[in-house]
Amino acid sequence: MINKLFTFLFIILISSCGGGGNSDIAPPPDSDGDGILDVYDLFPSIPIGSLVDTDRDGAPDDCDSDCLSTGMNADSDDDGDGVLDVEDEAPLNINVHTLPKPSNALFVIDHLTVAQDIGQLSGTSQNNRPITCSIVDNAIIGTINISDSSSCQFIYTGLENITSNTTDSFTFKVNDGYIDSSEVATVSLSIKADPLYLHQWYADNTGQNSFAGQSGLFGEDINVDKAWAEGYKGLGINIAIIDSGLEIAHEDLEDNIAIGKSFNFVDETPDPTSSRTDGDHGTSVAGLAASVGWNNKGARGIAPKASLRGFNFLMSQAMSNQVAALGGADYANDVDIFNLSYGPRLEVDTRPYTQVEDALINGVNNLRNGLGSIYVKSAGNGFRLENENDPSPSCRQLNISCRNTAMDPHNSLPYYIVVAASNALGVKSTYSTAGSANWVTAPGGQSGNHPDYRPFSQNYGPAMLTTDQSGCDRGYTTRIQKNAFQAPENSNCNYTSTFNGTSSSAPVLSGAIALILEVNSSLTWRDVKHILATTSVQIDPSISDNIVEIDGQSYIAEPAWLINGAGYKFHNWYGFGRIDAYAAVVAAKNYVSGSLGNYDYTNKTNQTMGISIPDNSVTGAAIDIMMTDNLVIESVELTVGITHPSIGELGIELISPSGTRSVMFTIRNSFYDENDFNDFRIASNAFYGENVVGTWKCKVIDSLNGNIGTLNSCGVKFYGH
Amino acid sequence: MAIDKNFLRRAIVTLFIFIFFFYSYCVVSLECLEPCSEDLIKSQAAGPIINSESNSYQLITNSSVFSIVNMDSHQHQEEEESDLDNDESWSMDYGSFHLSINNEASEALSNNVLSNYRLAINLDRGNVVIVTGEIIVKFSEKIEAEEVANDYNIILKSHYEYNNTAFFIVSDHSKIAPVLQLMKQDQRIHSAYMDVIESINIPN
Repeated sequence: MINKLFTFLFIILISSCGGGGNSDIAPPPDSDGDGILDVYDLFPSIPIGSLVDTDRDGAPDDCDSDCLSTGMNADSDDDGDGVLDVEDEAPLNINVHTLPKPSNALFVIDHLTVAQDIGQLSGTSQNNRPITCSIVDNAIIGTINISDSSSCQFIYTGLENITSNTTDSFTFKVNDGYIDSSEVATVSLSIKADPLYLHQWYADNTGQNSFAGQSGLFGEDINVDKAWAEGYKGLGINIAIIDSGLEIAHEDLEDNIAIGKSFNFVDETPDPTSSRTDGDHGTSVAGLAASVGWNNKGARGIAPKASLRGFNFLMSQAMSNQVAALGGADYANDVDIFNLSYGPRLEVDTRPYTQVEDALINGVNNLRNGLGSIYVKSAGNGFRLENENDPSPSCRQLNISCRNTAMDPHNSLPYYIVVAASNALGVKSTYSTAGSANWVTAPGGQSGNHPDYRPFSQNYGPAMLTTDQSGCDRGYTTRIQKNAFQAPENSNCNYTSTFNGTSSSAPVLSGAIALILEVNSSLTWRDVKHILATTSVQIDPSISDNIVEIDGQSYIAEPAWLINGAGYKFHNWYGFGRIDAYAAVVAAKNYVSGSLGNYDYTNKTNQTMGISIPDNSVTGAAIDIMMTDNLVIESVELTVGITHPSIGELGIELISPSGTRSVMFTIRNSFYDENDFNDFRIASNAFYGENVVGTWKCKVIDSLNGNIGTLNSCGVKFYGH
Repeated sequence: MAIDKNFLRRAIVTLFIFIFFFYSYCVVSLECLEPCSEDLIKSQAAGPIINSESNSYQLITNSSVFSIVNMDSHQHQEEEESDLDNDESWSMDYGSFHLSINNEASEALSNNVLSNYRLAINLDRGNVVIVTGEIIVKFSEKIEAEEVANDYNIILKSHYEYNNTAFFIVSDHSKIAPVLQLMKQDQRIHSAYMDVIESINIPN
């Protein structure tokens, strides 16, 4: 080998010295222009720029491959790796004799337009060397990125929503640290979709109109697709829909139905499918929570892999059936989340039923192996349901909630998560009942009407797209006049685009909670509430105080967003804000179960005074209550006794030691015709995180002239840790 | 005289809108329904007086409650008077229920009848309620609820240990009052009262 090198150098030396003579004589040829005359050049057609011969085959390195390509094998093992060239897949690479090879593969993808980890690409290599992967030709419907080249983990990002299942593919190659594979592999993608998902603004608001007359606003959704992208879809979580019924054979529900776990209280069978033909509320509610995802049918529930069951309590309403549905019965005692999209028509001065309260206490103490089941309750649709006898300007004209979440006395219990509704513009749905018992907000939509079909509608905002009773002779589609949601998208009439209400916001929240529980199954019911309170997003932030003139003086009838003494933002319309499913999932991942500490509550502290309520005055009647219990508040229950001919004139407030003012019952409410409160219980969540210790002020305002009353008593009870 | 067609068209549309809203107002207003029905309903309350958890009620024995199967003829409002069947002197759709008072006591035969349910009047407030025919019993000691059912010849529906409470079905409504009376003297029983649907839950 050394001899060859000396010969080579000698040739170079000779060639560089040669000549000096006659310029008329044509220079000897140097075909490859490497400065070595052809006559002396071992490889006259190949320019040689290096003298290094790593593989010791007699040819410089930068000649090796070219020399081989011309058939000038230097020897039988060019790279000297011990593997004969004829058997060596890389005869000039001393480190490689077997080329790495990528493997063809098939992946099933739940289509999303956000990045999601799909899986690992694979291949073979010499001695199982670790390989890295790189994309050769990318997919078309989505983009493939290698998130970690060492593990060949890849990410898929759909470019846009698609309306049916489809296929796609991409190619990739691998490298074993020394050499690229000469082959590329093809990865086939079976991409799953839901035809109507692109109309689900509440999951992914792109500004679509969802068949309504008006469009939504980009981004005004619950940010759930990122949670799905991380793989959290509610798998293993049991949701019960306590409602009017549940069509368990619906094409977009049946795969998520827990077989034999539903119950029909009318005929006492496990099939609560409604025999109505004009729409089954429970079937539509269920679809929002957990209709099957990526099955090429309909839309997608917020927890598209959660398990569903239905109890048609609304069709019977016996207390025994309610208690059974809330977790008392065998078919209900393994439920993680109970969805209650209903409420009383109008309650007047009643207390929570003992049996319901006991059932809820049993649920939070004993179900889910003692972690507590979650009870999601709709706030109501009474914001604009004014009392026609109320003198003008009415609550509706004043933009004060006519009804109040407190009008269902069960909402004073801390075991419910009461949920208000927002629309596709990211503000309160026009109907959503306000009140200090609201915990959070979730999308509930507006009418879903389109002016081409319903010219007299008051609101053309998008409603919720969800499951309807199957068939064109059943369901909401039969009683809703023709609207924009028809064939081809809804040719089988199995879906509706006009469902709305806090009935809708509740199952959206239930679905989101299913994702949270899937992430961290050790969370208690209080942990879930805490995560929601801390991760929900303030919406409609610029909403101002609603000021009403009372006898010439200004009164803040409905305060703007407040920041309480513990730093939590709260508004009676929205609670702690609109849920952010992804933020909640992220928070749940690292949340240590039970970190709030032991649940505790104070005894009810009652002050009986008998104070006249100044008529038509912002002064009001107030009772101070001194508290010494050292407790961090999770919920406050106020009990008031009032003698007054028209409860609807009154506003009820509670002011904490740190100065947080919660209007727990707004003036001009729809109790105008009702008199007296006898130990009426109202909850406020506005004081979450504050400490109990100090003086609390219970205050009652009379907002209209004429009726005079007395504040007889105020009592407070605090739940917390 | 020339007729301004545009004016005529506008007038018709305005009239239509007015009629539409007036009709809507009347249908959804509960006050349109209640006064005319109140006297009739109260006159039918001739059954025994029974107590619930917090109120007293008088049964309307010739009443029936149905679970509404088909609401084709109904709109979204929560309650409205409905067309009378031949043997009904009064009827009303209320939430998911069809309530009726019959001209004479008769057995309601229908797949969707809630056979144990009857109407009653809340004697404190005067409103109509639904009595489910069930009795809620809280025991004062640990007990086999089936024994109590046998003792009173009633049907045990469910019993919950977490609050030591049982639900019993009394098929014959005339027996509810005497059974409750006897239970109040039973030392095994802490409290017993009739199940009443005072305020109907509606989808919202």
